[in-house]
This record gives sequence, C-alpha cells and structure tokens, in this order.
Amino acid sequence: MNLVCVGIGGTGAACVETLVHLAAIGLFPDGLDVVPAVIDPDEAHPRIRGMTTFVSDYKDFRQRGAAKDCRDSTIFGTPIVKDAQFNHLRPAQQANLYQLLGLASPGARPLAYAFFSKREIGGPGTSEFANGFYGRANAGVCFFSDPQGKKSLLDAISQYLRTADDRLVVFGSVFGGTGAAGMLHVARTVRDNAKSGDVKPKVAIVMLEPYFRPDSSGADTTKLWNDPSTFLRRAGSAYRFLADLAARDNLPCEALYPLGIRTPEVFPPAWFAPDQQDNPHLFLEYLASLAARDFVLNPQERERVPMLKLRRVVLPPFVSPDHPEMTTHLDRLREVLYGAAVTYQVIENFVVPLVGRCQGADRLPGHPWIHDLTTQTKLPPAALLAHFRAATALLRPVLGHAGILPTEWRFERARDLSEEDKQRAELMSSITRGSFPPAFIPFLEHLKISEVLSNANPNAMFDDYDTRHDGGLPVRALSRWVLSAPMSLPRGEGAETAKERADYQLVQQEGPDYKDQAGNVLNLAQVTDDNFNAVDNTKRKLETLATATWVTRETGPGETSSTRPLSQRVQPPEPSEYPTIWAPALVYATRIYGADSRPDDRYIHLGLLWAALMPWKEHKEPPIFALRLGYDDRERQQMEPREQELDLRNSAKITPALRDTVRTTCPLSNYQTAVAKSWTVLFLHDSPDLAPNSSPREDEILGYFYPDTVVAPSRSLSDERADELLELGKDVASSGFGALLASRYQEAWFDVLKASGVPGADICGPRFITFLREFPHNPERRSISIDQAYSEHRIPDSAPWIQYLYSARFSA
Amino acid sequence: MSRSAGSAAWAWGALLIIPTVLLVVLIVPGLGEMGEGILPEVLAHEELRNAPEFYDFAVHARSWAIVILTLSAVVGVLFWLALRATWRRRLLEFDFEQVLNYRRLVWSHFGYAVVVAALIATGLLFCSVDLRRLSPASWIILILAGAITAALQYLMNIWGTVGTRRLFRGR
Repeated sequence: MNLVCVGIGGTGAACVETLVHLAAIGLFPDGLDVVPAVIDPDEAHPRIRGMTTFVSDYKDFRQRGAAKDCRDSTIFGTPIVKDAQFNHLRPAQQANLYQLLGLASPGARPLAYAFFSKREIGGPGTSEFANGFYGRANAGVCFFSDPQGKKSLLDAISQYLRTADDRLVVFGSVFGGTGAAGMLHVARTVRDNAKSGDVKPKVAIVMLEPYFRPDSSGADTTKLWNDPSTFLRRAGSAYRFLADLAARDNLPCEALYPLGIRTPEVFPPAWFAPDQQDNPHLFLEYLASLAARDFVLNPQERERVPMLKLRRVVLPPFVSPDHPEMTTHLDRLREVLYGAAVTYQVIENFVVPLVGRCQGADRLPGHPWIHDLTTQTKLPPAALLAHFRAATALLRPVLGHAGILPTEWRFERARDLSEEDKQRAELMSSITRGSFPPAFIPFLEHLKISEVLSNANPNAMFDDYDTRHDGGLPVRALSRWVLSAPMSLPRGEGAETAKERADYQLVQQEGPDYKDQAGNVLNLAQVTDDNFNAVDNTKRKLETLATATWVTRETGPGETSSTRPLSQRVQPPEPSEYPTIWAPALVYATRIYGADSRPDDRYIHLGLLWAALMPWKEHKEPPIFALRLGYDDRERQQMEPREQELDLRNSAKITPALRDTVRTTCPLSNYQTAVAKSWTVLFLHDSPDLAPNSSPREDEILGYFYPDTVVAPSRSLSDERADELLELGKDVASSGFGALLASRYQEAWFDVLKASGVPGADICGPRFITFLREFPHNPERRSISIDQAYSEHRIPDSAPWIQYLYSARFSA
Repeated sequence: MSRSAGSAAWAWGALLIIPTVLLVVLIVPGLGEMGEGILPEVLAHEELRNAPEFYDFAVHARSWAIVILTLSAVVGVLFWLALRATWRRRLLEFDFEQVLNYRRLVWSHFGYAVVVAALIATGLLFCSVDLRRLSPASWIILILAGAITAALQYLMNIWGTVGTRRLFRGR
C-alpha cells in the first residue's frame, strides 16, 4: 500500500519533512510505503532540501543494511520512496505570469489583464514568482495549471496510485500562496486524471490554518510579499471557498483535516526575509502527520461531501488513568518520539563506545551481543560501528527538528558561526520545544535513560535481532527492545476533566471572542477529545468556519476584541486570497454588496452597468467582446469531426495554461450554462471602433460578465477609466438609473438566475436588486428612459440572465 | 537471535550439581575405609580413627559438614546472584565506562565468596565441640572444603547458566 504525501509550498514541505522523519521512526502501520513529494518553485527551500537529503540518506542506509524489503512499523522499517522525478516538483518552469500565460501574444492579454494587475503579471524578463507565490493564490493556480507541470505530476504520481488501497494526502497552508493555490488543484488534478473504470485513489487534504506569524516590521514592501497581517483573513477566504465548493458537492477529496491553533507562534523580523524561510518545525506539523496516519487507518468511503475531521488540542495527562491501555494516534506519536530519543541515547552513550572498544577483537566479556551481531551480520566490529553511527546520523535530524536534541545539533556542519546565527538557532529550538504540549517530548539533555529504562532487561538489548526481518540493521532490534521495555514516561501534569474544555485544534474557538459575522457564537461542538473526530455535517461546519470573523485577537489597552464594533474588525478580502483566477469576481461581490462597501466602488459598478446596458461613447450595440476558450483535447476527442474543426478554428489562440486555469478554477461548475457556451468569456470594453475578428487592447477592457454582480471590473482598469466610470455612475445614479434597473429586473431576476443554473442565485439575485435600489435619486434631475437601453446583443449561446439583461423578457 | 544452545545447554547445566555431588561423595556414609564417609576419616587423626568414639564423632562431623558445605554452596549461589544483579544495575546506568570489565567483577565476587565461605566455615567449626577437638590441620581442611565448595558453586553457576556463561565468554 502506498501513502503518497504531497506537500505544497513551504508549510507543505515542512509537513512532508516531518512526515518522513516520523515514518522513519515507525509512526505508520506495517505494510506501508511512503512516497513523499513537495511541489514548490523554490528548490533551495530548507525544508525541501532537508526532506530530499533525508530520504536519500535513509534509502542508502536501508540499502547498505540489505533491508530495502523491510516493511513494518519498527524504526527504519517503513520504505520511503526516493524518486528524484517526484520528490521535488515545480508547478511550472516559468518564473512569471507574463511568460506562463503567453502574453507576448496580444490575443491572450485581455483575458490575463482582466484577472491580474500589471504588477502581478510582470514582463518578459521578470521573475516575480521564481521562488513562490507570496500569498497570491490566484496567481499560483495559473502555475499549477501549466500542462507541462501537470503532466510531470501525473506521470510521476500515477505509478504510485494504482490500487484502491493507495492513498493521497495533500498538505499545505491556507494562508500562504503556494499551498493555498495548489492543495485543491492537485487533489482535483489527480482525481480527474483517473479514467472511468480506473480505481480512483482516496484523497485527503490536511490544511494548516495560520499557526505562525512572522513579524513583518522590517519587510521590503516594494516587492511582492505575503503580509502576515492578512494570514487570518486568507484562512477565512479559504474556508469560504471550501464551503462554496462543498455546497456544490465539488470538493475533490474524501477527508478534510483542518489544523490550527488559537495563538500562533511569533517569529522575529529577521526570519521574514524573502526566500529565506528556514522556520523551525512546530507541533502542528506533527499533528499533520497524525492526520495522514488517521487517513491510512480510517479511510473514508467516497461520498459527495468529504468527511471533516476535527480535534481538540493536546493537554496532559497524555494517558487517561481510566484507559491506560488505549493506544491513540497521539500515544503512538509520543511513543515513537520517546523510543527514538532513548534509542539514540543508548547508541550514543553505550553501544557505540562499547563496539568501539572491540576494535581488533571479536568479543567483549559482559557484552555478548557484540559477538552475536558480528556473527549474524557478518560484519566486523568496525562496520558495526559504522552502522550505529549511520543510524544516529539519521536520527539526528529527526530528533533535532522535533526539539528533542539540544540546539547544538544545528551547528554541527556549520563553520565560523556568528553570534547572531547561534542566537537564531537557539530561538528556533526554543520555539519548537515550546510548541509541543509540556512534557510531551523528552529533552535529551535532561533525559536519563537509566530512569526511563529502569525496568528493562539490559542483557536482551539485541535478543530480538533477526536477519530475516531486520536485514543488516541491528539497530531495529535495539529500538524494539526500547519500545517493549516498560518505559516510565512522564504523564504530564493536568486534570483529566480539563480536556473537555480544551481549545479546538483550530484558530476559531467557541466563546464570546469568537463570533461569526452576524455576531453569533460559533457552534463547533461535537468534538470532545484530542483524536480526529468526524463531524456530522461537513457543509454546515465549513460554512460556520467561513462565516467566522477571522480577525486577530489582539486588542488595545482597555479594549476587548468583543467590544470593538464588528465592522472595524472584518477586513474585506483580496483577490489574492482565493485559489482561482476568478478571484477578482468573487471579491468584487463582497466589495460592492458588503456592509462596509465604499460608495465609490458602488458608483463605479453602476457606471459599468450603464456601459453594458445603455448607449455610451457612441457605441451602437453593447460593447461586448466574446473570447471563446474552446475545449481541451480530451473533450474534443468526444466530438464529431466537424465540431472539432469548428472548435479549433474559433477558439482563442491562448496558452493551455491560461485556458486550463480559467476553466478548471472557475467557481461556477456549470459555466457554460451560467455564462456562455464553449467556455466563452464575455468582456465589456470601450474600444470605439473594434473591427470584426479583432480583439480590444487590454487597457480597453472594462470588465467581464459574471452572474454574481452582472459585470466584474478588470483588474487592470486604469485610474482614468475608473474615474470616468465613477463620474458616470454618480451622474446616472442621480438620474434614477439604479431604481430604473431595479424596477426593470426585480420581478424575474432571481428566477432567471436560477434558470441559468447560477449557484447561490437565491443570495446573489436579491443582493443585486437591493444594491440597485440603494442609490439615491435626485428628483430634480431628468429621469432616464429605459427605451434608450440596448434591446438586443449579438452574443451566441449566452446564459438566460444575459439575454434577460437586454430583452427584459423571461418565461420560466 | 536464538539464545538456545540446544543439548549443549543441558551439558552446561550439569555443572550446577557438581558441588552437590562432591558434598555427597565426601559425607555419605558407607564410603571410606571405615564406612563412615570420607570426610570424617580425613578430619579425624589416627588415634581417634582407631578409638570406639570415632563412630559418634563421624555422625556429628557429617552433620556439621553438611551444614558448613551447604552454607558454602549457598554463599556461592548468593554471590553469583549478586554478580548478576550488580552487572544488571551497572548496565542500566548506560555508562559504558562502568561496564568495561566484566571478568574483573566476576573474580572480585569470586574472592568475596571464598572469603565469606571460609569465615562461615571457621565460625561453625568453633561452634562444634567435636570439631574443636580436632587438630589445626583438620580445621584448615574443613575451612578449605567450605571455601572450595563456595568457589565451585559460584563458578559452576557462572558456567552452568546461559546468561552468565555468555557474559563471561563475551559470545
């Protein structure tokens, strides 16, 4: 059985690095192969280098020990697949959107510039996204949609996902750029790749909410950067996106494991340098590995809506006095960490010095295991010594990153270390240690193995060694001996009853400080312990998390977060927060319909509506430019030859990456009925004399049609055009244009949206009418007559609501 | 890793009863020129051996010898147990410098066993009116017999049990 673990971005890489460490020391059950991969543009990321180096060393170690067929939960028993083609993947080879989206071709520009700002797109030689997406999930999805990158991923991953038992677990953060962009995308890509009749792999997504917060006071804001103050908001946007997908039964996974923490770890400003994110490992990353273990042991059956699994935070005591025999994921995690730490200590302090004493002889009185091991492994003591040293070398990063080893392990390979580096290393270790529950892990400098193993039989250290199962790795027998010994571990101090009142392992909690945007207390109950518990109603819980305020809990003097007005606390989302190229359209709805919407934005929108519906700037017909994206190769294969030819001829000449991004990340799962067939994007422009078969320039695009708001403005709308639309909007508003449209559409707008298959029509329909009604009408101004409006358009196969905009006729 | 030595384990285990066999050989009635056991004949000087009270002496000497030699064997076993416990305790300290010389520990315990057995034999010897009457040479023989019994029992335990034999041999 293969457990394919794909980490997306820096946090995903940290989770996968942690996971391979824990797999090496036996966290996972017998019979499992772990296949790790990280998808991130930054090849030099410390977590990626750490993971690939460890996997390579681990494989060498097992090969040297002739144990590559070992497949059990003893230390070094889980095969971890080393595959250079797969262990690290780049989403795409390009370093900027300009090249990726093929913007040297003028035909692609209107589309790209409608969704991205000029700063994000860059130019022919720029490299904005060479090492990451810096919190721009909407840009990230374009890179993940690159056909070459997708093909590399699918080619590599398909060889490991062949049977119904195989599992895919995707890790990433919801508050960054790469992970937020890639998690759903990778899950969907793998899921959609399975041909009908193939076994579809079971997929879980482990998503980390903001659990650390860099101090960004010294950040260089002239470049693209991921502002930590937006982390929480980004998490909220991610839940909004997930809740919407879940509502449409469109989540591409069997299980969702959100993990967060009430108070994130704070990192100093020096750690926030771009592309230098050598952050310390934190406990939440270990819980992410437990989520993968849970998914292996308790797989979900395929349902329309995935299982949402939540847990409470870990509090001592770690073993319930009522159920000391109970073995949970957490017990196993603690057991393998303690086991590895004690094994390491025994090797370092005892085994290695003794075997070292045996050089030149084959036996040492008092320690017959040395002779036995040399006989069984057919290795001289020197080679045996090398084996144990290699084992400790493998264990050092495992224990070091977990905070079990003292700080000094970080200095081992460094020369001429500055005082600043030492302080940083000490702080890293201290933060890692502090992130674990008290007494959960041992600190090696305080670990007295004589006390922990006081009841063990020291003469039986290697008695369990069997070359048939252990190959040439006697260290496995030692580890088994350690784990089978009655270890006396600290239970941790804490009241058993406190667990029921513990925090959820989430950012959001229940209580007066955590309310939804309507001011109600969040209802997250159901979960009572620190195991992964499936909640009853995934859709409702995701909606609960999506409607949370997602604001920082920090308050000023004399102020509590609950006393501040809600409007001051909820920040409007940014397009960069949503993993879809359509993010500007999603955000725009919030911007103009929300309680905190700016009047200027509303007037600009009214101006856009005027430009779409009423004669403006001497246009004789609606200034709409239709860009047909067409179908992909797989879809074309199912068409008649003539249709294939037509589609090829009429489709826009744009890069597959751009086409795929627009199509695959569209939140409207039925875009072709909800907007226009053949994946046609309808642009509103103000090009005065657009010739047939030509496209407007990108700076002439005003916006594009989207059902939530009718039109969404282009991201690259110039300030001059925005001012022009603002003045237009103010002017026509005072003439009663808003009220006129409201009266024209109010009767059937909801029905027509519903007939178009627009998701959430019951929400966005009434909101649009309310929006129109709210514009003040100056009675002294001459009213506008609807007779002036365009009465028809030439958009083939557009959705009923677009036709209704012009004809105002609708029959259900 | 198999720790069973098969039939050889029985052979090694047979060592454990050697001191008992020796004890039996030394004191069982019926052996010796006069049929009162070997040890009483060895201990008694010639005059006593030829006197009628030798038979009473032999009965008492056998009883005391059983006590002395059995206690000596017990001392040997106790020091063997102490050796095991000490080594185990040292191993559980996981300080390699404390566990570099197993054989030195074995021989030091051996010495203690011999001395303690000799002291016990001496003490018991002087508790017995019959034995006190013997010559100093007989005393030494008896004390040596106790010390040798303890030493034999100790060594036979080390070699006769798998754990300590492996530790001593280092394989």
